[in-house]
Amino acid sequence: MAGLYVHVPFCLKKCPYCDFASVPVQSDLQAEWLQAVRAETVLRAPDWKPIRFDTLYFGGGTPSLLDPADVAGLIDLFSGSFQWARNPEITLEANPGTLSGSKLRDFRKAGINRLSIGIQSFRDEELQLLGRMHDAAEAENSLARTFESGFENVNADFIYGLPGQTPAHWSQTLGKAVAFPLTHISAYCLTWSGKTELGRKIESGEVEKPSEAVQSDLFLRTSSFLAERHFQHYEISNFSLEGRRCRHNEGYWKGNPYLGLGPSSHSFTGRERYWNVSDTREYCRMLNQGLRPCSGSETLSRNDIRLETIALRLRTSEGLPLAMIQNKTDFCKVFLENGLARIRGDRLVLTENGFLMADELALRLTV
Amino acid sequence: MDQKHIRNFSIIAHIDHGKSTLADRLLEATETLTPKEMREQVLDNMDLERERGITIKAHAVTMYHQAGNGERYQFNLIDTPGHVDFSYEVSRSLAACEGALLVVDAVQGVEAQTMSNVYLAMENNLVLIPVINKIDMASARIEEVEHQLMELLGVDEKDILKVSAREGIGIRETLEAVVSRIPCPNGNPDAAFRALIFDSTFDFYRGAIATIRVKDGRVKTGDAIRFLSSGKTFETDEIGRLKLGRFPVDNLQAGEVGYLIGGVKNLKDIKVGDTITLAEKPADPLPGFRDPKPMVFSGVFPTDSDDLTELRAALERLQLNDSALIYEPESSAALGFGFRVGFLGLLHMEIVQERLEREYNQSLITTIPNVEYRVFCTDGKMLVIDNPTALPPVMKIDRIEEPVIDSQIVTPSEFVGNLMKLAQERRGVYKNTTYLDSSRVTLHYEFPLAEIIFDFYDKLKSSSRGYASFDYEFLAFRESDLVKLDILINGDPVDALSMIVHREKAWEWGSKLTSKLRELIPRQLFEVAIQAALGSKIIARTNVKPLRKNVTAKCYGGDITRKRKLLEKQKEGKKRMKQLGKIEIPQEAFLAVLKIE
Ligand SMILES: Nc1nc2c(ncn2[C@@H]2O[C@H](COP(=O)(O)OP(=O)(O)OP(=O)(O)O)[C@@H](O)[C@H]2O)c(=O)[nH]1
Ligand code: SF4
Repeated sequence: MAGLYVHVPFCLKKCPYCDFASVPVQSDLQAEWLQAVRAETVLRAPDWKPIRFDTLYFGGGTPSLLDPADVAGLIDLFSGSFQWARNPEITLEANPGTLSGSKLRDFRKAGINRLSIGIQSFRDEELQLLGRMHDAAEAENSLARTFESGFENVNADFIYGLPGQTPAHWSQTLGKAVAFPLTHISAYCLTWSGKTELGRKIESGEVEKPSEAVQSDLFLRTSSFLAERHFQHYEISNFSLEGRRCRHNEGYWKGNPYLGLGPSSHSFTGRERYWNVSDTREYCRMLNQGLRPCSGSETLSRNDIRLETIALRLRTSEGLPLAMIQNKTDFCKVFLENGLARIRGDRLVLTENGFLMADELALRLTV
Repeated sequence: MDQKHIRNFSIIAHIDHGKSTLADRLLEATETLTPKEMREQVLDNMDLERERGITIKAHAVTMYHQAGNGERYQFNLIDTPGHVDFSYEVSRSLAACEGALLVVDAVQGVEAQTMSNVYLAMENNLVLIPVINKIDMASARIEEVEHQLMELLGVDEKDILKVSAREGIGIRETLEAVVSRIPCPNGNPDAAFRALIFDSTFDFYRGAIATIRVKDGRVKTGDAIRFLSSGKTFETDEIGRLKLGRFPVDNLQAGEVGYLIGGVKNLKDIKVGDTITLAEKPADPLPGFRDPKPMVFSGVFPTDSDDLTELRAALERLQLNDSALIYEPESSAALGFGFRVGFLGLLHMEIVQERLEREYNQSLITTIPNVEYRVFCTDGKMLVIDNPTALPPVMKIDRIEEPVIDSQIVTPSEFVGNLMKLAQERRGVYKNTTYLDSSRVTLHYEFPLAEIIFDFYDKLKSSSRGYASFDYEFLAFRESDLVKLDILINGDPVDALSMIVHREKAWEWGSKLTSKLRELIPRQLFEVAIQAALGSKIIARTNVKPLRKNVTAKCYGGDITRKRKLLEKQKEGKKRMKQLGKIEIPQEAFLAVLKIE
């Protein structure tokens, strides 16, 4: 099974912590982008003919800025261009403030069956710090509208571990979240890079730097809070109700193939990975000339695949087959002794404390 | 050239008094090098030397001087290193000379190394020509320095040359003084060939190359020669003179200096200080010179134990160029197999370490350096120990002796107080004070060598605003109250971190060392306890808190390649860590002691 990803590189305005490929909306560019994605579909289709897809994901950026009719058109094109499994999961990422009731209904009609909404927080001052366009009330309204319009499989994205955030603040947001019938919650611990505005503020000391201890504490609180509400912690930053995992993202962690369309998207055949240019205009220009918008590729060696498998599987509740790390029993013992992992069947699975150290543990298992 | 027209000499000077600059001027004035070949300080040609501004290896260069008396002279200038670690190399250079220019900075005046060089030159019966350099400087104190030199050497004011190597003043006079004051060699040109090897280098294509001073007779290409110490014979492929490069000649004769290539492949066959003769006409060995004696020892281990053979090969090669380097196999419970290496001093140790890493591409772990100890056991045996782990159990030790040095500190008198305080902290024993002139004094102290091998030199400089200078030589072994300080990590002693210290300093070292290690050991998956112990008694402890969080929040399609690349990069970093049981320790930790304030 494979996943199809479409990168929608537009947002209303650039958020100060964001390092995704995205630019403020411009309608002419948006039209060009749509043309280019269609052209890329036609270009890539022959190679991907033999492969069966079972998920489609509109990510961004802010895909909910798209006209539902255009989304419907793309879905039509994809269903004609590739082979599909039954009941594909079709996700669209959305931001509050871009979701009117009618738009939501139209997205549903277009075939979107899973919505992922960038709520981030239910506290105004946190939303301001993050530079989001919406406030807490808007976040709640848009969620309410989403469920009213008939969506059942809904994820909300959150960010925690913010400068100045206390456990009480975060509990408040989580409490509001679970008051909605969400099937999935993604909770990302804030990371920053000096390249973003927020990162610079943190590094210059303009806002208080979130401490490792507080962030770790919030991480642990999140999983126990959500566990009590029957959310399974199935990946470091992802929680879902039974049967409601994000199949598309699971594909990445399992090492399944994926095809990415749109600027900066990545594709993976199982052996080869290639990625598109990230500049939207450049992307459109190349497709206009009938060129593949590729900016790089790599062929993974057996060892590369091993590294990736270890790093990715460790991040999930499925864990890593012990057979893959037979020569690392010493390290495994240290993990087990220190409560960072446990053995389940023939797999090594990280504990909550282990998840916090996933990168460190992956490193030790791959050295 | 007949011996009457040959002059073999060195330039000796305290660091930075201008030896290399003066050598440049002599090479220029004798037109030995074309202006194009002329770089600043041509005699220092190793990378490291340039960076550190210290002449490390002795080199030789031949030049020709048209003297005022109308005759042409061959000058062989033999360069000498300028740091106390390398004083043995000075002595071997001097063994090839009849005289030396003693260069003294007109601002700094006589310093500790000036004096020790003078003593070395006197031991070798060399004629000294005193030269005051840098007379162009506004702050030059020519008269004062003259008085210092007259005092030190018992010479007349008129015998002292005044030079500015930078401005080219007094160069001609210097060349003439070499002709008129330095004796010509007095070997027997008709006797059997004998030459002294005073340096050697290794050339990838030509093998081992000896730098020689011919004492008697002559040697020509094709001659069968014998190295007296090994008794091995070789055929000379090529002999020649050294300028900036090698210039082959047909023969070298009594009094001359040059190089000899004899297809010597085995690095160990050319021994500096050895005598070469003709194979059929063996002669008596020439007096060699004081064998270099390593004073400081440390363990050198490959970071990756698979690289042991490479490390051995690298050390073997280095040794050819550096006869002061000695090593023998060592094994450590913590670090595996490696070598115990003996160095002349700490600078020598750093240089060897850098050369191994840079020129031979080795990734190394170097352990805390120590001196050599004599351990007298209760059963009457005496052990010589250059490794703390070899110390017998306390009950079996009757007493321990450590090396003590005789030193002179030359300083402007205003810093005497500071320096005496420093000396006291370093267990110095005051001997006496002598005055060089009204404002400069020489302090004589005896120190345990162990007290000066770490950061003494830096401390000396900071206690005297950079003015004091220091030189020393080995004096004797003396009894001292020494103990072994062990470092335990999570309860297990780490042999490579043990050190021998004076009992009174054990507590201080214990707490400084443990806190330094706490800084250097990265956080691990669990808490790491670091303790310092004397026998079974813990005298200091601290710990490294466990690592709590290291995780990327997002890992989707495009993040995966980035993640893998990062892992690969971090893996390289991890490889530079040493695994001690479950604990990872970075290479630098083993030298932590050097970074202690
Ligand atoms: N003003 C002045 N500076 C000089 C003179 N001779 C040398 N110097 C400077 O003094 C410094 C040291 O000179 P070097 O020739 O490198 O000294 P050295 O004794 O060879 O030093 P080591 O190689 O470290 O032993 C350099 O910065 C020179 O430029 C001089 O006659 N006048
Ligand atoms: S909405 Fe999302 S993609 Fe757009 S700028 Fe903000 S964080 Fe980046």
